Amino acid sequence: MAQRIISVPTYVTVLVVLVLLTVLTVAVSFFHVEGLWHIVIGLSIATVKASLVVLFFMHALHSPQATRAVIAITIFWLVAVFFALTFSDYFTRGLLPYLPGH
Amino acid sequence: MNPEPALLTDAEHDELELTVLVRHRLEEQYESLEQQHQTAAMGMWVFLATEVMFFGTLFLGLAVYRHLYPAAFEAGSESLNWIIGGINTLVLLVSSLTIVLAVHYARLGDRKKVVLFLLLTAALGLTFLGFKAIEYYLDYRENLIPGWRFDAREWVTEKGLSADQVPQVKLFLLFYWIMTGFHALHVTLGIVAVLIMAFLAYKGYFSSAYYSPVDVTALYWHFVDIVWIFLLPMLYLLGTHHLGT
Repeated sequence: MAQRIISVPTYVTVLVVLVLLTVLTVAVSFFHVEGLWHIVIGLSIATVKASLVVLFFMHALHSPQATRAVIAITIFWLVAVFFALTFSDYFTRGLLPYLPGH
Repeated sequence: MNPEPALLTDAEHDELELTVLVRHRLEEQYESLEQQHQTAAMGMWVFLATEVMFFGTLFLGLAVYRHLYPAAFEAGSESLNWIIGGINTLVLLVSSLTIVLAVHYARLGDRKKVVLFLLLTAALGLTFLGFKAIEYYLDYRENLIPGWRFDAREWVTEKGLSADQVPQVKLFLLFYWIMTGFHALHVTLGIVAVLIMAFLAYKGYFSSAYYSPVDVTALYWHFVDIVWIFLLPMLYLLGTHHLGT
């Protein structure tokens, strides 16, 4: 494909960052924080790592518009439709304990 | 070797070979190999979108039940082997680099390096499965398999869970087995695909003009890596680890 080529040093740099983030996420699991924070921190770091893989290793940075649209729609579906809508139900249950009919 | 003077220079010969090869690989519905490549890559992305739906369901279920049963899920998470989970994360990350280098050298038409990096990727995939097998064996030894080897009393007497929370721990462990099991299946299929690509590359099937199968296989491999990137915090790192335990 006639696209800009990412250089080998860039790939290696991305890997080094990914490894450092992995060490960081495991290190954080030794801090005594409330359980929910483990998930927030763990998922934040994982999202950064996944983004690096998608952008550099999977060449999303230099992909055609149509491919980027597929990626964007997939992420939108997963985050906004799937997770956000489900959580808006489960996380808010019990907030109105005396709602008639519940 | 050839007694007659060559009709073509080496460069011309290479160009002719490439032209023949390009004609041969180009399917008739595409205008160019580049368009064909982009179509193949987008097809793989659409397939990966369906894979996101598959694993997304499991992640969503895990997240919802972690929300409903926080104590049991944290206790279950702390019983898993985060050391092997962490090492395997590094193994897959390095394998993502090796396969992206295979694509890189395929684009440059360096056949030997393509074969080398594809074989390295497959070897790292096998390393991952090896560690996974060791981990599964340790889980077996530590009674972490609900329905087969699981000791409810252990969780109540040693880990301080209530009797109500024992089925919740079982649920967490089921998520663990199903998610890592399906992931391992994906790694296995990935290794097969990578080995086929290595064989084809060795046979000279690819060129700098035509290497989309290598690229598309790499996309799949990276996706499997991404799933594991999320499995690490969502399975192994839900609770607080303690040094020396």
